[in-house]
Amino acid sequence: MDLTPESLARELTRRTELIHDEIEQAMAKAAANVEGRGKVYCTPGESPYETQQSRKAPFITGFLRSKMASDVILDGHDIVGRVGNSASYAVMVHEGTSRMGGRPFILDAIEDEKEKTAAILAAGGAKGCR
Amino acid sequence: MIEDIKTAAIAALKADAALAALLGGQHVYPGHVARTQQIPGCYVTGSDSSATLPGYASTKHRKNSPTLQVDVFHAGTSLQAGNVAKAVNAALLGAPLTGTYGWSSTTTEQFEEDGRLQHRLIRFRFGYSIQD
Repeated sequence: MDLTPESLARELTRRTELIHDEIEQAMAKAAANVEGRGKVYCTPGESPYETQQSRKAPFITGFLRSKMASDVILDGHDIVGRVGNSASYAVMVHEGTSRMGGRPFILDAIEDEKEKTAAILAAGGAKGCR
Repeated sequence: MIEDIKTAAIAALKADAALAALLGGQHVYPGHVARTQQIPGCYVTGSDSSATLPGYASTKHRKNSPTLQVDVFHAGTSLQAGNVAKAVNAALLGAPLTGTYGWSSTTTEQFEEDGRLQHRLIRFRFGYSIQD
């Protein structure tokens, strides 16, 4: 490689883009992993909420589980992984109401997968640096 | 430990004059609102989980992931409910309970159309050390 200021700048830009792309892909994978955990938490027989007194998995027809989704958005230099649910009543199930305790299936999934999320992102960053 | 923290949090919130003024009394209770049905009111729940740290065999140290949740229900305006949530935050973040550290919180806002109730959910995160 010619070590001119221009070639060095090009190489740095290329490597920056490479790291960015790898982390973006890793973020998609991490968000999908959390989405999967959220689906598990909406599944009878596998939901942690069933072990709590007088509680059930947030499941009747499977609609809530089917509306779990994840994606990645770019906000300037930030790479943001998003996990959510588009069912109209999802927020009531998640946050609870005056008649029903909450079952925060997304927040719990994020918390419970925190270490795996960090590992996926670290692996993506390391791959981009090679 | 989380039971002690819940008890201490309820005592701290009951002792807060600003919060009592907003609620019209010391309306702070353990458990879900359905049990007491006092509105406006604050309802305190919490849970924790722990896992052994490396070297547990000799040190007996655990890491903990406790959460404390305060549900605020108010039949008034969004501003009124928000003020109660602010007072709860000020009371618990301003004077961390004994034996705990690193308090932070997030608040979400809901409105129950059928009951015309404002609902503010405040989740507190913090830490404490446990040696078995």
